[in-house]
Amino acid sequence: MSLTEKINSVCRSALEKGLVGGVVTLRRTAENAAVHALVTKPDQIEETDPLMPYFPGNGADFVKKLTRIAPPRNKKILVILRPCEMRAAVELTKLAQIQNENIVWMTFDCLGTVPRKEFEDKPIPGGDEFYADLNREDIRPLCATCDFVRTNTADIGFLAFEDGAPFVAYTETGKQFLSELGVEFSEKVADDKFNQIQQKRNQNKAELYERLEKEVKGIDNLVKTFARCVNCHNCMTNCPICFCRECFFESEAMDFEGDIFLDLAERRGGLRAPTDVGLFHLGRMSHMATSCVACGACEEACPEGIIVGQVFKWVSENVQKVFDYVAGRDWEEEVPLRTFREDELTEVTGMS
Amino acid sequence: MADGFEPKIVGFFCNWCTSTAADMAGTSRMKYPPNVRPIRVMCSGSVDPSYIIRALLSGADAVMVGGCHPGDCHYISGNYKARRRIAVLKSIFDTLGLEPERIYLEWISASEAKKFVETIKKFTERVRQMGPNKLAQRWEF
Ligand code: SF4
Ligand code: SF4
Ligand code: SF4
Ligand code: FES
Repeated sequence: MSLTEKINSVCRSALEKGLVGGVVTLRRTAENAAVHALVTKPDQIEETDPLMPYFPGNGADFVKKLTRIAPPRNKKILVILRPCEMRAAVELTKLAQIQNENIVWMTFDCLGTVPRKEFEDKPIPGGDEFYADLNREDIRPLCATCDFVRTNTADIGFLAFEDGAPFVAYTETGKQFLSELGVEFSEKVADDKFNQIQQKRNQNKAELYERLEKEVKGIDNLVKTFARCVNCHNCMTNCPICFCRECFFESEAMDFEGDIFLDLAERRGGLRAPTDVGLFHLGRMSHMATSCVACGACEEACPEGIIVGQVFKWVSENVQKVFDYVAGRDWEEEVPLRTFREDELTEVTGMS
Repeated sequence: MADGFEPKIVGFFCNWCTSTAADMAGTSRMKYPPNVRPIRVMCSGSVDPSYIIRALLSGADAVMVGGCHPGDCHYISGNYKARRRIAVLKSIFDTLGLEPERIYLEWISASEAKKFVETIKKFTERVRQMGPNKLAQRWEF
């Protein structure tokens, strides 16, 4: 059975048997486009393919939408997410934006996705065509440098990289779900191919960071990096972690009297429009770097081709290290800005 | 550094401690450099990092946040939260090569007028050595 069909047949029979009332996964809207969608009928599964190399946004955002006011009470939902989306879902749950009830989480070994703009005039390949070459390099920079091509925080994992592409159950819920469907699953998590691919990604990441040290670090470089930014805030709107109802950087706190703007222009050598580009990016980092999952939804959404996702990944990894934290790695670790310890960070006070 | 460079330092001082220490230093006529522009806040925990960033982008050469000593915050944990936020901000500035030393957090209680004066002297001198803040001079950012 093909890889996509293997997952899809689980979806179909879960819907047929009424084990879940809906499935969240990628569904085509056209040959060259897809979105996350909630499907409820087995025959709709024909149009879905969780493995296709397309990233319309971070799917955790959609789960937030589906559960924020109230999680489904009458029926369960099967949610199929990439590892970076799954990690965002873990973060959003910890941040009380997703209500994790009656959800069966499934994730899969992720080979990455191709930049959306590549599909302006060609069809998106199906998962099987894409996974036929595990060494491919035509993926987004954030995918090529991914820290988690697999994650174990879901109920069910689909080990697409490994021989035979087995399902594994990480939780009791996952075990029960697969058993009730009569789907075979492995108790052992094979990791041969996974290790190879992850290693390659880690190497790529080291190279990326070396490049960013040279090309982004320092005020001159930073100015260049964001030179074309039109301050549209698409990066923030598409970020799963930026969930504020009203973003501070879109509030009235950004507005001043003309005299103050004149004064600012006087001091800064002029005033850029739209204003507050630097404040927006640095400020956004200060709000959410502790939970950035390096999914690159921001970068995909940037109309100016700014490497905003790569910069956020780099900065955020260092921020998370301060707290020994890795966003979305597990369900228990506390989100850094929601807690504190009395006896920590003593080096932060004082002149250093 | 350039002759006659006088750093401008924005101070976010907690109402219950550092602000009071500053007032006391003033009323007891202790001398300290006039470089600090104090802003009274209700707690160090109310200082969003974006206020600090805005100050640094708008012409401040440095920002100092003054809060109550650990255990003494009137809102119990505001200062611990401030410490985490400032740790985040300093890490960001460090990665991006933006001089995290221009961001300074200190605990100064209401009775520590002397510590306040000493701290301001030392920090002003420190920032004078560092020279003007380049981040504030780039209109493009
Ligand atoms: S940038 Fe900050 S205020 Fe704006 S949405 Fe993100 S976290 Fe909220
Ligand atoms: S900042 Fe970018 S990479 Fe990080 S979580 Fe948000 S969208 Fe994903
Ligand atoms: S999406 Fe791109 S252009 Fe728009 S605010 Fe973000 S970085 Fe700037
Ligand atoms: S009341 Fe002073 S730091 Fe919180």
